[in-house]
Amino acid sequence: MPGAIAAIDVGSLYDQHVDWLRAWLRRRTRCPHRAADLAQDTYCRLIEKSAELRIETPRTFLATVARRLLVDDIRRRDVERAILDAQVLHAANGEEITPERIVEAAQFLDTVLRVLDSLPEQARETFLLRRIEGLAQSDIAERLGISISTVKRHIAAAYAACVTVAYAD
Amino acid sequence: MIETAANWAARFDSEEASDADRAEFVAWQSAHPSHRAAWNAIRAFDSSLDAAGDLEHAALRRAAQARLTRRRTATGGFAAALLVAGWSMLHFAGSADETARYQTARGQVKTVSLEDGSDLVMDTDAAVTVALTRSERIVDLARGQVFVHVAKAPDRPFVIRTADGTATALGTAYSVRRDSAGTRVMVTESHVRICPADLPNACRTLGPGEQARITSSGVVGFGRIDAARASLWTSGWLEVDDRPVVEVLSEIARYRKHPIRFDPGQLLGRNVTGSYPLSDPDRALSGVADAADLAIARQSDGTLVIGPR
Repeated sequence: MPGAIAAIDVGSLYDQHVDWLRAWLRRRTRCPHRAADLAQDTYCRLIEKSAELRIETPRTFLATVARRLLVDDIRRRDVERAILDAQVLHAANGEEITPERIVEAAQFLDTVLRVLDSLPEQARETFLLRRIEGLAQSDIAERLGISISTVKRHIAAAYAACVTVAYAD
Repeated sequence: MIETAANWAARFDSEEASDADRAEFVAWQSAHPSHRAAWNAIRAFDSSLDAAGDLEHAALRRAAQARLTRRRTATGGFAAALLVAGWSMLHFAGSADETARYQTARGQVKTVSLEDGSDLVMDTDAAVTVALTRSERIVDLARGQVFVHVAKAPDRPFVIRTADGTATALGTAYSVRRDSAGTRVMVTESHVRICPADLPNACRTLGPGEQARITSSGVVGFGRIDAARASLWTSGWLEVDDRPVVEVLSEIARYRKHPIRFDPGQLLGRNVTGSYPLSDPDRALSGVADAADLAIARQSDGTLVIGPR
C-alpha cells in the first residue's frame, strides 16, 4: 500500500524476522495460532511506535515486545476465566449481573492481577490476605510464620507495584 | 519516592500511625507534586479494592488460585520491571478544589495528569477548564478534542461538558471532540452517559467501541468505531482505512500551523489507506499525496496548495 510511511522500516523487520518470532512464540505458547496472532500484534505495536524508536538489536527488541504481549494475553485469559466462574456462582445465587458490571469487574481484575504478578509469591499472598480476606497484619504474620515488619514490607511492595502499574499505562 | 509513598500506605494500613506520623506524612506529600501523584495512585488502587463487591472478590480469589497452582515456566520474567518512561510525560496540575485551564497549540498533543489520578490527553488546538471538587470532576471543553483515562471514584462523577451537552464517565476511557458539527463522543472502555444540554430527558448510554454526536436537536449518529484506531492520535498517529482524501487532509490540517488549501470537488472519489504521523503534518501530507497521486505546492507564507497531479 503506498503512503503508509510508518510501515517502511517495519516492513524489512517483518521480512527478516517474522519466522524467527513466530517460532519463538510457538515454543512459549505451544499453539501455532496464538503464536501467529501474537507475532502480528507485536508488529502492530511496532508500527504504532516506529516514529519514536531506533532499534539496534531487532530480535532482542521483538522478543521484549512479544513477551509483554504474551504476559498480557495470559492475564486476559485468566481474567475471563475467573469472571466467568464467579459469574456462574452468582447466577446460582439468583443475582443478576449487568454487562457493565462485568466490564468493570474485568478491568478491576486486570489491574489487580498486574500488580500481583509483579510481586514475589509471599508478598502476593500477604496482600490478598490483608485486602481481600481482611485479616489483621498480626494474624497474617502468625499464619504465614513471618514477622509483622515483613508483613508490612510485603504490603508496601504491593502498593509500590500499584503505582508502577498505574504509571505504566 | 514510590517506595516512600508505599511505606506510608503500609504504615497507615496497620493503623498504628501517630499524630506526629501524620504531620510528617502531610509534609512529605506537599514537598513535591510527584509525591502527591504517587500517593493518589495508591489511593485510587486502594479505593478500587474497597469498592469491589462479592463478584470481584470471588473472581480475584479464583484467578489468584490459578496462579498459585500453575508453574510459570512459559514466560519467565513475570516480575519484569514495568517502570516505563512515563515520568517525563506526566504534567502536574495545581492543587485540588481549584479551577485550572489548559490549552494546546496547533500541532501539539499533551497529557495532563489531574489531581484525582485521571489522565487527560489533549489534542491539537484544544482548550479546557478543569474543576475538581469533592463531589464532582468537571472538564469544560471549549474547543478541540480530549481523550480521558478516568481514575475511579464512584462518588465523584467525571463529566466532560460542552455547549452541546455532557458526557459522564460510567467507566474509564473515552474521548470527546467539539467541532462545528456538534460534540462527538467515542468510547474506548466501559460506558459513558451522554446528555444533550437542552434535552435532559434525551440521555443515552454508549458502550465500548460506540460513538454518537450530541447536537442541539439531541443525540444522533450512533455508530461503531474501531476504538483503538480512534484514540491513536494520543500517540501521534492517524490511521485510516480507505477514507476519502478530503477527510484525511482536513484531519491533518488541524495539526498544521499554516493552512492547507484544496478544492474538494477535484478530489472527489479518491480514497487513501495508511498510517500518518500527526507530529509531523508535512510528512503526513506528502504521504497522503503519494498515496492519492496528488501534487503539493508550497507558498511563501507556509500555505500548502494541494491538487491532482
